[in-house]
Amino acid sequence: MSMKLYLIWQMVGIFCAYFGVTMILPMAIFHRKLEKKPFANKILLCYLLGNFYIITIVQLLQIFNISYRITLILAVLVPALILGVKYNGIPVKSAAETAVQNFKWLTEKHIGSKTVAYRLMAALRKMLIRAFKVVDKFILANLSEIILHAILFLVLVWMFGQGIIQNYGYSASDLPVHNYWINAMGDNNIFVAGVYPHGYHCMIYFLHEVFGFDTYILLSLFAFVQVICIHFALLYFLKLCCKTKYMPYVGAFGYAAGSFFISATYSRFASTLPQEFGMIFILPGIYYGFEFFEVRREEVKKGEKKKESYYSLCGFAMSFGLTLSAHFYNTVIAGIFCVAMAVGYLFLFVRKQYFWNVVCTCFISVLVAIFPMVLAFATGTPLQGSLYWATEVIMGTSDKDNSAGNVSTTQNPAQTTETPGDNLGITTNEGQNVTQPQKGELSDGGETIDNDVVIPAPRPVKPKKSLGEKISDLGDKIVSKYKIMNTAVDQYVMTEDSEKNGKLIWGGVAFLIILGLIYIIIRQPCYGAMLISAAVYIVMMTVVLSAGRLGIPKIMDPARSCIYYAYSLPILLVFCLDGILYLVSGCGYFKEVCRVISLWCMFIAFGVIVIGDHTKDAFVAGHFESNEAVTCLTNIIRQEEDFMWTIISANDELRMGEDHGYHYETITFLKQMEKKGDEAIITIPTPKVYIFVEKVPLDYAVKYELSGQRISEQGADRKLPYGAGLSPYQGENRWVVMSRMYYWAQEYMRQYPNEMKVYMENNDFVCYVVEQNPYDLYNFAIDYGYNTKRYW
Amino acid sequence: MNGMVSRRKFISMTMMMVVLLFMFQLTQAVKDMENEYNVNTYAGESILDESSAWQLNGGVVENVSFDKVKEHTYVALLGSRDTQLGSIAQQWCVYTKRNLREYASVEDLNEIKRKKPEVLLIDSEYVNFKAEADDLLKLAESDISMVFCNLPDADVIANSKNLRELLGIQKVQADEVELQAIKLFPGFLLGGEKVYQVQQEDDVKRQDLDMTVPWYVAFGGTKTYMVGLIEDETVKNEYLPALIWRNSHEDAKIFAVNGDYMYDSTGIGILDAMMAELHDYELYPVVNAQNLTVANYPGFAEENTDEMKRRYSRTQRSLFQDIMWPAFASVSGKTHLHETLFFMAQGDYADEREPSDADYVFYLKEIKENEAEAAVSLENRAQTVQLEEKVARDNDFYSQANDGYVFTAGYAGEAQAVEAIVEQMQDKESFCGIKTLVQKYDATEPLLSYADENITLQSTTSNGLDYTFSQDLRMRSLQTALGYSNILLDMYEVAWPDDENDSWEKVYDAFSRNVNTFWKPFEDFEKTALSESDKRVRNMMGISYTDRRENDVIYMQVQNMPDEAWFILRTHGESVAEISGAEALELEDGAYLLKITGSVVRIQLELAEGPYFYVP
Repeated sequence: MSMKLYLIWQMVGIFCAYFGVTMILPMAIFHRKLEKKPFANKILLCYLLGNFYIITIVQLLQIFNISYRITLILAVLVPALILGVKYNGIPVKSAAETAVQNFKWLTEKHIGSKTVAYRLMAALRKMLIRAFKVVDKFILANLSEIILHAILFLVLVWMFGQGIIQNYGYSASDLPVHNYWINAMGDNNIFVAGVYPHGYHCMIYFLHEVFGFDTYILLSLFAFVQVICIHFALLYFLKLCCKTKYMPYVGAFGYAAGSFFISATYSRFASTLPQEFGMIFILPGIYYGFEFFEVRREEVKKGEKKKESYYSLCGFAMSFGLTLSAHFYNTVIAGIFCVAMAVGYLFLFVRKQYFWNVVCTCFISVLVAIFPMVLAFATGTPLQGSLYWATEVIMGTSDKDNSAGNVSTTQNPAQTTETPGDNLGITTNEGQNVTQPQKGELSDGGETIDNDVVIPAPRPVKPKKSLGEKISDLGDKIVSKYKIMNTAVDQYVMTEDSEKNGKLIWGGVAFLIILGLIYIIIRQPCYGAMLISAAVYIVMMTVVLSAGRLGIPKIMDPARSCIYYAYSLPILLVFCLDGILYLVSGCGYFKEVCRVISLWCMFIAFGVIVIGDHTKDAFVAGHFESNEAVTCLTNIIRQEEDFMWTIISANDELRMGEDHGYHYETITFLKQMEKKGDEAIITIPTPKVYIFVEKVPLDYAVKYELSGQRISEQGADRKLPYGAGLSPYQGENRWVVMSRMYYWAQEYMRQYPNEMKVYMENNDFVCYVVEQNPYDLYNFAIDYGYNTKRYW
Repeated sequence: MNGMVSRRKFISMTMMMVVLLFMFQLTQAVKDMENEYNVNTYAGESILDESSAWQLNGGVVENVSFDKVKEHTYVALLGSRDTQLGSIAQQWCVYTKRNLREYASVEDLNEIKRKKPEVLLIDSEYVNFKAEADDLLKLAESDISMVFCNLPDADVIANSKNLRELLGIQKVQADEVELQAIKLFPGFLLGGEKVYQVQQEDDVKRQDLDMTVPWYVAFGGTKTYMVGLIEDETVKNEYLPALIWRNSHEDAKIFAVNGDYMYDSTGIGILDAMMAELHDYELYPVVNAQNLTVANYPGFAEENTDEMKRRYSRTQRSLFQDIMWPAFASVSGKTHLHETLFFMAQGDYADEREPSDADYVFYLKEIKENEAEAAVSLENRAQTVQLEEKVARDNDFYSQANDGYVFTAGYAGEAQAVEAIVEQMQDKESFCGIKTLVQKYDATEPLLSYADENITLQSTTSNGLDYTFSQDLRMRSLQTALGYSNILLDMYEVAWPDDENDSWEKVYDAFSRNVNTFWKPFEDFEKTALSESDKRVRNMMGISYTDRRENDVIYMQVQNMPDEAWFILRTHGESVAEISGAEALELEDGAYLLKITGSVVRIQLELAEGPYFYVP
């Protein structure tokens, strides 16, 4: 079976499992309760509820050390059944009585088995017809939207899906760490590396434990689910916020297919990373914030108690909590949007009917999200490395923002057994030339390249300035800051380096504020406030993006904030278009005109993207593991009995196969026989030992002059790299290590021709297998020539 | 009249009993009538005789000409065929159809660099390691694989770096070490893993292996097949005293045997196992026969009556018939072994107690029913008369008692007596049908051979009563080499006991326990009577073959193809995917028993389990 086909099959399974649990199940339970809400709202609410419940329940079960497949299934199914019966008015008692009665009649032969079967079939048929009618009605009523959804889905499949399927292995260096943490959850050890927000890990663990997907498969493929969710979250946010029907698609399609933003703004989407998982929940939370003000305003007006606004608060709380439980950065962005919202809705926010509701909700959502962490911390579990950094940021004591997301990886033994705690130092890994960063790309440490070196000069004596001069200076300063911010936007976000970018963004912001004010004046205050909030949010995000250049403390590295910034710009565009269109259509008076114009706008936008050659290329991330290695691993897991095999390879397989077998690092293996030859003893106590050798070594995040060269005697002839951690697997070192390993294998195969076989081989990769008697282990240490050579 | 049986009921019950009686008696009567006890089922026409057997070196007594041998088609022996080691090497070559050239010194070996042998067997007695270790190392560098059938003294090894390098010995840990046990790893000899260790009281008697050996620690790159276990449990497995191992030197494989395992038939199987390790596959003919020889049973004379009455309160004939026969029938039923019972007309020819044919037909019938074979014992155990007289008197008895039954197997006892027995058998009516003789195991004699032109000689391989560790190792080795075993159970001691250990209950206990336990791993080989086995031995001896491998396919051409023949195929992690011209039965991982049905055999091999997923 083709590995690709297998992965596609797995991806379909993951899709069904994830959306089945987080969307379909809550929808089945609460569909009557939410029937008045718009479809997009229902979807979002159920999705949030599903994620929130799963993550919370996994955390609770983990904390109590009772997280197993059966407990997880029960924790999901039992409440689902109870609530499903309750909210859908299923007459359990009468249905049970009827069933018992029928069974009694059947046993007493008042009715025959054929009658019972006929009745059951009739009931089933009735249900199917009803379901078919509902689906049919839904499809007919929403045909255009369904088609557009399908197109967006296909665009994402094209843009990201094929890339994810193309490279089977991990495409980010910190995934082994996450893999390690998730594996540890299998032993109910959720905080194995210290206290850390584990929302994302809980979800992956849940899918692994309940549905049986291997963790490494999930970590390789779940990225596509995230991509879909991120884009559809944007679409649904826009759909719920906008007054026009098709304008949201402009934003969603533009973001998904347009080539306006540099690859760094979406390259991380190719990897299943917590930040990207948490990103899904930012916009739904913001929408529920907007909705709360609007609904609550109506309730206050009518003097009603909180009823509908309660749902909005729930949605907001869940979203906000989920951002925090997934990744701190998302909470930062959600927080910025909340502040912008507070500015936009200031006239409502400061009122007591709103203020305490919002504050309490924020407080509760944060409390729920951090409760498991606080509990663990209180019971003596130390914070994970990256949380110290987060704390420093909050306290303002962080002197250096060193790509926080990866700090986590530097403190953990997950990546290599060789030397725990090595600095990985890689943030971008998508095949960019990290040794020679270019515009909009990043250096090794995630720091941007800035050629403007400022040489400190002697402080001049400041002459006193007149008021005119001061005003003039202020104007200059503003212009200067404006330029700096535009430069940051150009460098980190936009593909085209143009003055237009800044003008368009600032023009859009100004336009939104004006529109917002207009709407407030024409008694559409909530819509107006929403537009102003979005404008303020963009301003704040621009400041965050260029904080370093502006000389103010950075709360986020531009390498990360650019992702959110690019994610925000479609909102700016769509809100502008929606605002103006809604205004010219008489605030919904000419609904059909508005719909037609929005449709045309959408077509024009599509035209601009497609005909104007603004489509981005399908994204294929760089890989940190060869496809052949993943294929071999999958085969080994499938064919061998658990814990009866060991893989000797570089680092990634260490955590990938942890639930099934053992791993021995190539560098450790080689080092142990270095200079000792066959006098050393290396035994591996499993019946089968697999050896992975890359004939064309990968560029593990670090390229070098002869990147892509094949292993050779020259490589094997070099001194074995003695760097710690991942360094033996990076750059030229990997070439040396793989060359050494290859020639070891050749010599070993010569000595053990019948015991060592080639398991899988192609031009780029070879996997050997050695079968041995576990009670008569082979000594893998041999003199293969290069290990006994003197290098001095 | 209450409680009385009515007439009607009485008649019914009587009828039922009559019917039941009739039914049982009828079947028994039919069985008895149908029993052709006087026909020896296993007596077939033997087409092959000694002249049709494959001849070592084409029948040339000395070395096969070096000009005639092709590279890798012969075995070189550094030693002499006249020694015990050489004899074993020669036997192995005969059974596996290999030509053999012997060399008296290392110096003579120079010519083999031109035409490399398949393997060089080395008797260390013929090497001056001080001066010649380097020459051997050079031979190894010429990719000539070697088997050190024995090793020089530990101090010689300790003092010779070249020899250590050749043998893959990292260091000589001790000149002598006392082993607690010997562990044979699976995959080398057939039968799986085996640990020879004294664990119970009974094992003390069984332990006869040499437990004092030099302690050699092997280098990396070696593969160990048998190790000694020592008392110090802290010693890592890798440092345990190696007993049989393989080293790699360049492309040559150097096998070493630390012990005396190559001095008897055990060596044959070890050599086959080594060849299987040397090559990517190994194919060789086997007998495929598992025999049980019950010698000197039953007897037909009332002898040693006083002792028998004292021990069993019955006469000897009664003991044989009423106690021992049901026990044999039971063992036969459990193990499905086709026993061959070698009748002893009488044990003592001077006691004037002549044999009676009263039980003769009974035994023939019972033997027939149990799918066993009746044969004659020609062993002159009591030595109370000359062999000539014994054979003549036995002939008289069987001629008189016989009802047309033809004996095709005879028991000769000690190997030294075979020649005389063969001579005495001539022109004796009762023994002229004998085509195979069974002799007691003798390490100096070939296991399977011809006693004369028409009579094969099959050795027993182990004693059913005293099944020692060395016998077990030999049995595994012979199963590997020939798929052959012949368990001996001599009943003479039971009829003429020396001490309490010869009493039947003890003999039966030991015998049934051994037979039921130690042959279990070899149940896939066929159980045969000696006459059946004789035919298979003739086939195996007569056959010759050539084989080659092309990619995953092995082709074998069988010459002198008899009506049936068996081969063993050993592979390394490969399984038989398709086969034509033969049927394959998996004995264990990487070992197949092939029943050859045509003269051309094609075997398609495949990796036991290749990758399921592939990279497109």
